[in-house]
Amino acid sequence: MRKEAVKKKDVTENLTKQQLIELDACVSCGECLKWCPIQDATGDPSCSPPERIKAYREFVEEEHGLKGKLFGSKEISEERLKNFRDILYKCVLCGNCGEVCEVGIDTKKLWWTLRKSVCESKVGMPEPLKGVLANYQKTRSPFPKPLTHRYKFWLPEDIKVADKAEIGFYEGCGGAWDAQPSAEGAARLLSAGGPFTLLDPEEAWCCGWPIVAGSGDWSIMPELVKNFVAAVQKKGIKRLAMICPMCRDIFKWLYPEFYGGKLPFEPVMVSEVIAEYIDAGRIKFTKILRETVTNHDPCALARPLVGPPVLDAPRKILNALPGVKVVEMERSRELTRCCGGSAGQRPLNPDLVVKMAKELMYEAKRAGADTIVTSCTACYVSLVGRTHMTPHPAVDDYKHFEEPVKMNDLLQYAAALL
Amino acid sequence: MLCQTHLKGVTAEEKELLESIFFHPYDKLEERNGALIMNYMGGKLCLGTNDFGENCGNCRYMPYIVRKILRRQKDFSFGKDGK
Repeated sequence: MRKEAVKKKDVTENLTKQQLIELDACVSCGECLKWCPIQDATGDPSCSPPERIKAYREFVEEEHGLKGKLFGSKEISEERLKNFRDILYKCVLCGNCGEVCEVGIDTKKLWWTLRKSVCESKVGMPEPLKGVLANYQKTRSPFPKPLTHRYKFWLPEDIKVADKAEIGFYEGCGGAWDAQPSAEGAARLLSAGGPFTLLDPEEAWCCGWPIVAGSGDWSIMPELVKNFVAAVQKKGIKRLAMICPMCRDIFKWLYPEFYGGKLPFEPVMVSEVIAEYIDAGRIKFTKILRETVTNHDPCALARPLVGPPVLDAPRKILNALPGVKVVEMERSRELTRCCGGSAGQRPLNPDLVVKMAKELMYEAKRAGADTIVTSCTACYVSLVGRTHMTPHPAVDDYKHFEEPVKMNDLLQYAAALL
Repeated sequence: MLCQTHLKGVTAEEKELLESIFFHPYDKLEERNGALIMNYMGGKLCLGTNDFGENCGNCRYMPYIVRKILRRQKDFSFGKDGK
């Protein structure tokens, strides 16, 4: 393709005024480096949050700053954009940097927006993530499998699914294709507490997170929102309960923006619904399990893009389990450690995912837990050591775990004690 | 734990479903001597009792469809060489 044919995108085009101010606000104090899981795993400050901000600030300066005005606006070279892309995508979008930022930069939204900008630039998204987008274009899911099969692996025959209900369960693509036991546990608990329905399988598309946040391509959002709103309304759903916090995050932030207002349904976590059922006495656990367990707060529940974190509902469920003793890890709640399994890291940097997952498992061991539970399908996959999208050598590394602590999904763990 | 249990007596419909879950080159079913060998999760080979002390038919790590097959199975072998 000839160079002139490539549409030149303005580097500030996708950023809000607040984000432009935030680029300037970073003072490189380095506090975020102490909390960044990528820094823990790599020890490489060149891919740290301040370095990312510094690099992008230079782009803005060259196009719009004094430098640009004096010497003329200069097109950013492909090589520099590629270097920037490398450091930008070496990030799990966990938001720990924003949580501890001394000047309050909303880094999570900033990284999403910068990924969008890079994706729309002449260098585009990183090569390994193009496969995820190609799958979506064929199947409306990041996995190359037909939607018609999505309930067949995890939905047991003894679970009654209503045709229409106020509570809808969306197991997400992770629950359907990767972490089926999590989906089964959720369905068992929901069914114990009251009626629930499922979206028609052909209409249960991906929420968009892996493509929008992971790859940076936001162009799919309009059709996604249109499909989801219609699919949910058709089933009479008022609250759409999910087991993937990333689904909830994108439903809460971008869906209302593209829908043009408040959604006609409330996105919630299944754990929030189950905690309400426990309070109302609709669910009772009858079996006893003498075990010490720790709860891993997934990043998107501890540091959501919009609204308050969901930290108490999982603990309420654990505390309702007879015989189970709950302990906290050193880093829990808002400062929870990332498992490493999100934002495209499994295809991009599988070795880093393993390092981060191991760190988390060791932290659970230090807390004295027999079992670590989580409320996220991506965490489940990282911690259980499933191999989808992860090259084999990385998985072999799990052998060094020597199983220091057992791993389970919170809902599946609780469902076993009904 | 790495599950390499041999699935026996799998119907054509079940096989089609199973192949929809196991799609990665490192996470796929392998056919050997009329049995389907699982390649699921990672780490140390599981010999029929998971870290929760559950047997294959009740293994919480398995998708429901796999447990259903394992519950009607009588004899079990594990690992590629069938331990």
